[in-house]
Amino acid sequence: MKNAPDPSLPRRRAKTWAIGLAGTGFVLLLLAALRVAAGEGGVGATRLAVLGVGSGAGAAVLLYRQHMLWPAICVSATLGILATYLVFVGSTAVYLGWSDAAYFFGQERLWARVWLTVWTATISTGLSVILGIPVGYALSRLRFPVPRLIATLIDLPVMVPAAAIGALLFGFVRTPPVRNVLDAMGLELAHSATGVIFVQFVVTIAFAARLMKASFDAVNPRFEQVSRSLGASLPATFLHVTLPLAKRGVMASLIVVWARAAAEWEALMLFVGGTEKQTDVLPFAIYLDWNGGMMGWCVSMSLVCVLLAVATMGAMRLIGGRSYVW
Amino acid sequence: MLFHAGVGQRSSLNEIKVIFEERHPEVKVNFSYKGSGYFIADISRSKEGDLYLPGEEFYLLQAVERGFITDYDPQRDIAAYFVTVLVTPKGNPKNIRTLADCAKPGVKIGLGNPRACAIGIWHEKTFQKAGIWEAVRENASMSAKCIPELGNAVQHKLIDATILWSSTAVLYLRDVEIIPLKAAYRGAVRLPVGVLEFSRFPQEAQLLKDLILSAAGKEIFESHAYAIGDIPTDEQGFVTDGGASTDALMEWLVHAARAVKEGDLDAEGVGPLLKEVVRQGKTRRSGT
Repeated sequence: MKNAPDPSLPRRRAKTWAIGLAGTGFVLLLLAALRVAAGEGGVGATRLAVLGVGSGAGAAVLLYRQHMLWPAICVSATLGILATYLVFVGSTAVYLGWSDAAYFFGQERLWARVWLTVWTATISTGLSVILGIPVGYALSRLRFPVPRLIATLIDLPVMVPAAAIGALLFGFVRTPPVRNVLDAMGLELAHSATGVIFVQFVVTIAFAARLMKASFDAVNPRFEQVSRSLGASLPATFLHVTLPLAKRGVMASLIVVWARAAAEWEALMLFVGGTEKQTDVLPFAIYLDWNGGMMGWCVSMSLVCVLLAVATMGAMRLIGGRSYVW
Repeated sequence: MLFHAGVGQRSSLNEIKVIFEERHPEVKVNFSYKGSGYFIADISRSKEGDLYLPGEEFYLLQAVERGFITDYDPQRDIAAYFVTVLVTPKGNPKNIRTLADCAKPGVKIGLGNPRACAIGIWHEKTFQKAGIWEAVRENASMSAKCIPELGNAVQHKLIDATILWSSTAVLYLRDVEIIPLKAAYRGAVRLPVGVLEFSRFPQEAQLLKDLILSAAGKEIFESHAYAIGDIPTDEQGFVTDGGASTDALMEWLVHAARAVKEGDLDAEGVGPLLKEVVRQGKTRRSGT
């Protein structure tokens, strides 16, 4: 047994070869695609494509013989999606070009819209979370009749299309009790930033409740029982035990809710309408400018949306990295 | 003051708004821009708003029918006209010269869905009048729900030709070629404006309406490639003056498309479209 070969060595070799082959195959296919795109198809491109597919198949055979095909497929799928994202953003940046990018990103109009999106989404997220924390706690901890039915009803706005919510809001705000309250408060919801916040709030409240429930579910109830048995009241236990333990989950939820609020468009389109400088948050501004044939603005603002998403996701990973929620 | 307006008229109305607010600083105009199809639902339910300028007379007549507008005068209340033009991608790859070329086999035509947008109705009308509707329908590769969808498709070479409003075509000067239609097939679509019955600021709304219908207002529309003045049309909406009242606009459009592509920003012959030419000349991908 002393001289038996290391069993992992052939596997490692096969892996190196497979990665090399698959990589070569990918590059060859890309070259073929570029030739076709440049209008130079024909024999050259076909040869490249055949070689590419061949080396991909070689990699697959190698991996299959070493029983590594399934993990390789999973990894390739992930890499494939990442590569697509890269092409997505990269091609858009190329389409826009440096000088135009400098022009559009230097315009105040763009940043005014970013700012509008940021502050409306922040306020609506705050409102959603203020309501979402007690609702999430109730769903997670308290006993009440027909819990599943109630949880499902609370979740409805997650499933119902935002456009439908926008359409339903019309009736909601024009019917007597709500209408009177709004009139008394002097609030005008249609065609104003207040309306934007209202719509974002309605659309995100279900997300907030759902994510808060998940955050509280992740806290072991034993800690709360100990706190109660030592004489702390329920509110004190919630504030000093449950909430701190659920902190990561709550923060992560906050960011998810914020991102959803900032991305809201359909209900806004129907219920609030596009008023420049007042309701044209980024998704809406993209639509309005697309209508005006202003592709430069559309593309720049879309890139800003991607940047915002990257920033929020990054923040979420930093803050809520190990939470159960995300 | 709340102004319900077709999203396509945004650039012109924003300019008119600036003039109006300079003259009447105490009044603030808020626009609610939507696709024309959304308005009636919104207005019927909300009973809010002061002024209404949809992208088609049809939608305004719906408001008249429901009693939301009572003083509509189809002679007086026309701010401007859309004029139909043939549009192809830059370089005109399929060499489309006339309406008949759209019926050639292998040409991809973009059509609008007549139930969703007014331009779709015009596609059907125009190609039917030319007697090539069936052949064009065979060539159709898309059924757009709104007119910018067609503009973007031509801009990005997804179709070989389509018919657009002049005011839409002018947004894509860098990426499209504009081909005027023969007068017999050239449509002029009225763009009406009306004060709503339940207006909270009827006097101010009337002032803004007057400004839109004044020479200054119409000039702004003209600078965005709308036709202005009196354009005689038949029952279907095709021009009946042999093109006399719209020929100049067609000439400007053709020149403007060339001027932007050649970077010749002081080009002569683009008339009131100069501002649009300069705007689009500033960047490769247009913006304001």
